Amino acid sequence: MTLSDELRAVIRAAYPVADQAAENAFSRGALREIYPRYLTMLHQIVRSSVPLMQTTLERLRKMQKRTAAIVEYSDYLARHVDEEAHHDEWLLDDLELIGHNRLGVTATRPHHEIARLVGAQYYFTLHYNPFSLLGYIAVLEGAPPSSAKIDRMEASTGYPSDAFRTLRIHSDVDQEHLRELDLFLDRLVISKGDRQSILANAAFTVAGVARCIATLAEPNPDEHPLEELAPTH
Amino acid sequence: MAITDTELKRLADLGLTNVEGLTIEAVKALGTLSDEELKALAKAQKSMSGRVHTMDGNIIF
Repeated sequence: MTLSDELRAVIRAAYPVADQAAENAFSRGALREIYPRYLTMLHQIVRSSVPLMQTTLERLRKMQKRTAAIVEYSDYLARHVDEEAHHDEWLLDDLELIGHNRLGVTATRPHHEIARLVGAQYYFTLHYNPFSLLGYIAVLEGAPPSSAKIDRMEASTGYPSDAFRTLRIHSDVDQEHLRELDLFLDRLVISKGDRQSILANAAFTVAGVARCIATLAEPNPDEHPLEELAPTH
Repeated sequence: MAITDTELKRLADLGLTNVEGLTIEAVKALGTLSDEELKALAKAQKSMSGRVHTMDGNIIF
């Protein structure tokens, strides 16, 4: 079985937990109120995509052994950094269209579940195994909402179509990125340990995504603009 | 890298019995989740069973 097949199998097996979290969050209260929080949550995750890949690239550069897999992985990440650039800005554009200003969104304190999910990626990359990031990328690239789901969100919220631009682009583009990732994974010659780190991180990422989505169903006491928390001296 | 009986028993005890079709490495990857996460997964798998899973997800990169 190829690495991409195995990775998809782990993600498919684990994904019901994220599906269920989404079902709970999106069926609770008005989607019109949940949608801006959802986009804010996505922004808090997506703004780390490029820095995470750059951090991984830096770690790979510093590794003493330059195996073919490390060279290929570095090339993949370097290409991907360009492809993923500014997606966080697109989310801010969409939020601005529905009345949420950029500064307010970027100053919103992220739920600790976001930090737990994304922060762990830095830890895995810097202190464990940089290949593990591929498990995170595979989950996030592999599970965009479908066009039909986005249509339903648009109809339920009554927000303008342009407020769904980032989701729609990802619905299409991530399919291409996923194919690219699968091709890359399947020609990668890595150790069993590297392989296991990717698979385990995929399972961890699905569980983390589920927890992040579940926060949308909570009241939001954690969401305070940073200026409220800033020291007064 | 075989799955030990202890590992399989842990998954089964937590309610995660649907591991058919998964490779040993895939099962081991799921086994890295905490007891709490596996219980939530077992519950979600039961609750979502019978639905066609299309990976119509909720997350982007």
